[in-house]
Amino acid sequence: MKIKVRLFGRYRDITGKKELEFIVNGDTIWHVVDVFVKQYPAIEKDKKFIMVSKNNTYTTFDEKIADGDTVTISPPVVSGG
Amino acid sequence: MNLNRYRRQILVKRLGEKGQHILSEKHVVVIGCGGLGSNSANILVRTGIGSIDIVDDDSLDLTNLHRTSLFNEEDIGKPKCQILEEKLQQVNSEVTVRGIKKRITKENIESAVKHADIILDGTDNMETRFLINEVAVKSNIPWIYAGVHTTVGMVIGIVPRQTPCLKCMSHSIVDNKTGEIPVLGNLPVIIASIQCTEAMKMFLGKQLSGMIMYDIWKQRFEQIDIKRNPECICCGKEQFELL
Repeated sequence: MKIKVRLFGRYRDITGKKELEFIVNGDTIWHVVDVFVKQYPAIEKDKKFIMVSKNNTYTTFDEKIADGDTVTISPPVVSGG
Repeated sequence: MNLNRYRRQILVKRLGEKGQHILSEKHVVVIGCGGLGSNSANILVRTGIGSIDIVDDDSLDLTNLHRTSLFNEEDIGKPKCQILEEKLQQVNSEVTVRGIKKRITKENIESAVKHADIILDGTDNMETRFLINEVAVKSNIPWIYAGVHTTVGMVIGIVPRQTPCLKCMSHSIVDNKTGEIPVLGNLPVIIASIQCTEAMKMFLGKQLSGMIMYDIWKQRFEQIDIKRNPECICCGKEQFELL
């Protein structure tokens, strides 16, 4: 299925793009993240912690996706003080 | 309240005299007073908040000075919350400022925030933030998360049962427990300023801006709208594991 991906933070720098489109062979956000990380190995170290939302609702990697959904991918929460 | 002190900000229609009066009736609890908490306390006292408790058990050291505004070299070794109480009371005598030298724990957090209209996060660790999150959700007190790392800061306004809580997004949190967290010195005051603006908006009944990310090096400001996860064990199922 075709999934639109919006990127935030340093992922825009790494990819040089604000949005991407992926063809995903799978039905969860995890599959989208997997395709994303395979295309951009620099993001591998973040993989477990990437922040994701589906159609603007913050969610987890096991969330089901459907053709035409928009997935947001952001770097992990910033936690220093 | 001497309104003349606030004349220039009362001219801002989004606040106005009515908003200034609302601020003057609010009680804020700031937990942690390093780069974020000390700057937020400074901003809120100057803004004319009613009263503020600054809770921190740490003493000032030399490495705090690059990212704070009110501390001096002569303050090194003194408790941060007491320095702030003394200095901020001189900044604005109309505001009740209390420095509380205390480490926040599960045993004392409920009493520390009991009268808070809002809690501001000035901590530097996720353990305390998750504790704040639980007490905020349990007691229905809004709180504003803030974090900084290198050149990037993040602010999330959390209104229990209305916006996502910290637990909703817990899988995306890396708790860097080892080593010092790198941070550019001029970043925390900006993130604290954003945090305080979100607090003011909350007091005035305005909609918050979701998750805000700012990179001071790239001068890039991003805002992400996020909605609650109804399945969240904290704000959805009301299971409080830490309290």
